[in-house]
Amino acid sequence: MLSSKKIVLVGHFGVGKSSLIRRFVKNSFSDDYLVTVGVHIVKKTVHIDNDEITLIIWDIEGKEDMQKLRPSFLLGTSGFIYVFDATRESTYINLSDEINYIETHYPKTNLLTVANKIDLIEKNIFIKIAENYKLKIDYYSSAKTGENVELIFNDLAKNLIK
Amino acid sequence: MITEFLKEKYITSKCQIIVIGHDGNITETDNYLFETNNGTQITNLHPFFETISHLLPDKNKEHVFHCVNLEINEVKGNYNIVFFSGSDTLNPYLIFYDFTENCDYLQTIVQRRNDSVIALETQLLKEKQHISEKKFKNKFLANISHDLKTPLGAVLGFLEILNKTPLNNEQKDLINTIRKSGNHIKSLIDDLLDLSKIEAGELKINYSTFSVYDLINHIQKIYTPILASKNLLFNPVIQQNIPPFLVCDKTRVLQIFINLLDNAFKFTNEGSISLNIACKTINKNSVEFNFSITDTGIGFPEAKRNSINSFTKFHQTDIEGSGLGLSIVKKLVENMNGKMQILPGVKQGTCVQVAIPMQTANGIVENLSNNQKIPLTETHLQILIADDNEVNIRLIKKMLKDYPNLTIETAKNGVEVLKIVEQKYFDLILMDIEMPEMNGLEASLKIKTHPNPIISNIPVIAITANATEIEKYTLAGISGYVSKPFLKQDLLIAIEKIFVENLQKMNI
Repeated sequence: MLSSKKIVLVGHFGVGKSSLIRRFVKNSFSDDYLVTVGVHIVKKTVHIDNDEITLIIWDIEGKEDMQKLRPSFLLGTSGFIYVFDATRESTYINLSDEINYIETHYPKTNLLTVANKIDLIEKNIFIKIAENYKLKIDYYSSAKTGENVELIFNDLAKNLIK
Repeated sequence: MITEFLKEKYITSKCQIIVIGHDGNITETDNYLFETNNGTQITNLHPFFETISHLLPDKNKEHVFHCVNLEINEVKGNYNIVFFSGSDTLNPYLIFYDFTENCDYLQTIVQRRNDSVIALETQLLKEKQHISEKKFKNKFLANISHDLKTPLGAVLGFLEILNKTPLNNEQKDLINTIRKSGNHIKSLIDDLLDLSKIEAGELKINYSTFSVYDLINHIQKIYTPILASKNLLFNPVIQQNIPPFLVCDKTRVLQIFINLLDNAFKFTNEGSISLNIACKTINKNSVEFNFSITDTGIGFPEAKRNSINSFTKFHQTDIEGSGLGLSIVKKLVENMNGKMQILPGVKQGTCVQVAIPMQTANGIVENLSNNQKIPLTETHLQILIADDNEVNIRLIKKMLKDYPNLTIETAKNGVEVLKIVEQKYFDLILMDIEMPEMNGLEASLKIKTHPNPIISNIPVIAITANATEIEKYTLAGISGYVSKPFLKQDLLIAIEKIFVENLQKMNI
């Protein structure tokens, strides 16, 4: 069975949304940060058991507040990946509010939270920080090393065809 | 005509309209921005259209998508896209406005802003991490020092007691060796504590009056045994103009002398070590206390000498065996607003010059010199020792056993202390700080804030391995402290000091 699903990566600017997509789609990485203005859209087909699913991935410009996003960007979204930067407190300090917003306004979608740039911080230290902030984190990732990148998109795809 | 021309130049050329059927196939296109053909399925142009195709059945709806980055038939651009889902009379259509230039311009501005915000946040994070690492390190140093000092205190204390029992020469010799090693460990722990205090910016200078002559006598006694074993000449010279008493932190001044002289003795195997002390008058009440230590030892290479003279931050020199002492000395001197400089010796060796501004204190006589016998008051005193460690209690009891006028009771923690003092009068409490259930700090605070003035006036002396927290002790109403490991003399001086101060207060 072949189906296509729209997924959107959201989160603050500079958290590595574009890098995660680039790692997933092209298996490449660049240390240079290039800001995303508006939206870039790419697609990749993944195989889940006997099924094929085409993920149409919307890489939208970073915003510190979900409410500030243009609603048209989120039309028809099946899955969200909320990405934050494990090294920048400002990108996860309001994580629970942001998750709450998505779950309230897009109740039929799937959502995964990802702590990215985990290669830049001692993981055990960050786990303690996450406990202090009571962060709900589904995956720790690094677009630079590729850690968990494939897994995040594949797991989201699995959730979407359930 | 001009309006048509301008519309063509500024609007039409930057805009493309595509009309599609309800099946998603292109029925009409003006191809102003990119080439498409009638009949092409719109979803084949770009994945963007796949994600909006589900909007087609919902008639009479208009959606605007800003700044969408598309590449269609090899033409790249950023477009604001208006999508109309069609009506009964009108087919669905898409209008593309080319915003590439605007987006490129916007990108430059946003890039600059984001880069600077990220750089700032990263810098803040680094600073935060640095502070927390520093705190952790200082806490670790203070804790490890505490853990080392407590058993070391017991070792040195019992050694002192053992030394007063009948011993043969060989046994005395062995005890001396153990004591020397113990004292060496103690000085290393003290260096670690000093290091943590300096790093934390918590080094306090405690000003009191001291006699330079007493200080030099003390130093000579320390180094006489080394002189005998090394065949060295040691010449302390005190100039005539030295005021008999000066005001400074005498413990730290002694530490500076000892650290510098230790280095001189360590690196000089033959020849001499001279110590010159002089004072330069600044005004009627203050002088610059100058001293230099010159040795004929191995000396410092010029580059290393310059590096030590110029360093502003704490660091360890790479001179083998010089330890932390030199860095600590430089920092101590600077904390007293003084200066330290390392110069070459006369032929070889090293000359260290130190200058510290000090107040003069003529006529003030110290009551408690280290060499004096401690005239512990002969009146009957009730003393409560609070410590959870049986070994420490035995040690203190042993140290005080020569004073039959003292009645001693013990408690294992702060809770017991509070219970006992409410039942019985005490003249003094010797309080360990680290105790289970209620620590010494909390117990002292409860005593000082006790509604019964007989209890709240009981002086408390802290027995502590953590001398970095003196300010906390003062806030808790603690009158004095003895730092572990301590000798009998240290304990007696602390007790005597409390009673002398109390007597002075009563006279007032």
